[in-house]
Amino acid sequence: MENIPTIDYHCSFDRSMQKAKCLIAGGDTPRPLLVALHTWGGTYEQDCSRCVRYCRDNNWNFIFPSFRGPNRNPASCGSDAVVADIADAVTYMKHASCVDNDRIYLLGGSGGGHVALLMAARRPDLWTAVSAWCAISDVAAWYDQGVERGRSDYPGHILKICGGDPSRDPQARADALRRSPLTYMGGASRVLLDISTGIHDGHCFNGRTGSVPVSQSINAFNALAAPADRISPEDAAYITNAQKIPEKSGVPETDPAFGKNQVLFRRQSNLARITIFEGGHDILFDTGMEWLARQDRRKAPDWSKGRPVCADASELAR
Amino acid sequence: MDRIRTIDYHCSFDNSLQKAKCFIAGGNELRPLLVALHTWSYTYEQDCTGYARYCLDNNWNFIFPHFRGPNWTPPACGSDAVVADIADAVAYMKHAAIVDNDRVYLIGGSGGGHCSLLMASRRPDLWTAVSAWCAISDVAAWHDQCVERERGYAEHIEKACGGDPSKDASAREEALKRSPLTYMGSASRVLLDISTGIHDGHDFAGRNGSVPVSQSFNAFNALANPADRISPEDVDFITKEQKIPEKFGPPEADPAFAKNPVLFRRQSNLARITIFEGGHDCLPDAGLEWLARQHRKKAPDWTKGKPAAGGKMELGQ
Repeated sequence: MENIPTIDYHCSFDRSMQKAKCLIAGGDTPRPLLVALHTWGGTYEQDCSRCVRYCRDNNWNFIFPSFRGPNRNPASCGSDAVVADIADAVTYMKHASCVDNDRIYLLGGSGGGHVALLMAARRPDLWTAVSAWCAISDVAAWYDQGVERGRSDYPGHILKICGGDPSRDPQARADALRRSPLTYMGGASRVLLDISTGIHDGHCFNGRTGSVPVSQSINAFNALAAPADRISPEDAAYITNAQKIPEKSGVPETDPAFGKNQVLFRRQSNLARITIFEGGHDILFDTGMEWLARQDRRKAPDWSKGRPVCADASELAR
Repeated sequence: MDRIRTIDYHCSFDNSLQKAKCFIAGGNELRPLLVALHTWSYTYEQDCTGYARYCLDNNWNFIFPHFRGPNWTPPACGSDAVVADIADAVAYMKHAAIVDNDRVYLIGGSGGGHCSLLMASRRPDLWTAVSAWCAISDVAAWHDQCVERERGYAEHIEKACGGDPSKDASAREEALKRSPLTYMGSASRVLLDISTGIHDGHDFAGRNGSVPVSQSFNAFNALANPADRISPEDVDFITKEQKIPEKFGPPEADPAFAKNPVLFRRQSNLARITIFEGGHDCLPDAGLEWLARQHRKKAPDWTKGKPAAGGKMELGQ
């Protein structure tokens, strides 16, 4: 793993110091900033070497904040503290380095995808573009989906985070709503948002059980798309359950940036796009960063297919 | 209309006071703000009833700024002073009124459409949504189009730019600085509705429309996805023939355009273009009805509108 400095930065939410891994670009010209987010059970110490390598190679600024660590308690999991910590991480980087304000990017998968969507919706002013992989958009629905699939892990975490069972206890439900990107999704209508997920996520695939049903991504896209571009509930259910794209959708254009994880379905509407690829609960780091790198606040969105990059799927950690 | 007052407000560009017509919404709730822009040769004293009426009826805040008056002097015509003045008009209203920051709208036609596009791209942070009618997007190109059609606007542009932009390099530079197209990509985060009558740029209904529809198409194309752009051949055909190529088929009717039916419409990213049956016209109520449905915290609403009350407003010179 690439070794990069750990820093402490001031978090305005509770005037605490929080930790992050961070990389400052060289030179005195403004350079892009990438904020990357750890997964559901991770911390700032999670392996972020793919992002580090990309940022080193391209001389980008980079920060990988802790944002209250693993999602096991009320302070974590998309709380107001999490939102403030990530905003403060951007502020810190704007002070510590020379950041190109027109190129500030956010990337995360799974639990990091959850917070990537949440930040796109709650702090759209911060980002040029956001790339969310296998994201959780509705915490209460995800609780039910976890229970239904007999998972011993995530539903238990949500009980602790929300202080009860969101499917039964109205207070816990309200709490789950506050932590759910879908609650605020319209707020992301002015951010370039690329939502991606492997089609087998939520199912047993390659000896793993993907934890986030594809419907979580589809619902986030639908909240931002023009009515004619939304994916119908029937199609969303079919894709999520059958792990197949309805034939009527046709074959999408190949995107070289996805390598062997070929694109199975893709749709763009307003400033949002959804991509469903051959894979499971995975993130394609370089694919995500290649797309982000092409976005600039002063230019029209670039939705064109990407260059071939290292498109090895990284299994999203817990 | 007697509730519309004339005010002076501070303009940061040169610490001057500039004039505007203005209406402050009643009550102590957050209310939307409409900034409306006068046309090419006018001032804040132009008849703004077409825009103001809607604000009075719906209790919206309203400002109709001077932004350096007629476009035949260097400080006018999309200069940095103009951009700063319109931004300051928003700042003034945020102090003078209780403005809903999620619902700040901009509308203008012709020369006001020019500045609407310019403000959408140079100050995208200010607006929830922008509605530009029969807009000029490229001042140098418009100069040439006016020369060709023997229109006096060419001379105005030469005065504003300090020379003929088709001959003089520094005048060309000036024209670029004053052209929305130069900055258009920066409007990619603003909801932008671009509309024009298909007969604009031609003699139509006893009037001589001054702005070719290509000016609107080029602005839309700069913001649209490659697949959604209108090809140069189609733009040419529509601009010259005042007809929509048959391959496009009829668009869905929009009741907000009642007497001026929509002939062509396309939306891509956060921009839309609408070509309607008409000339150098603005349909204020159709524009305002669309603006009213936009909210910064909600997904864009591109659905067709409600039948609009008002008719068309022939755009002044």
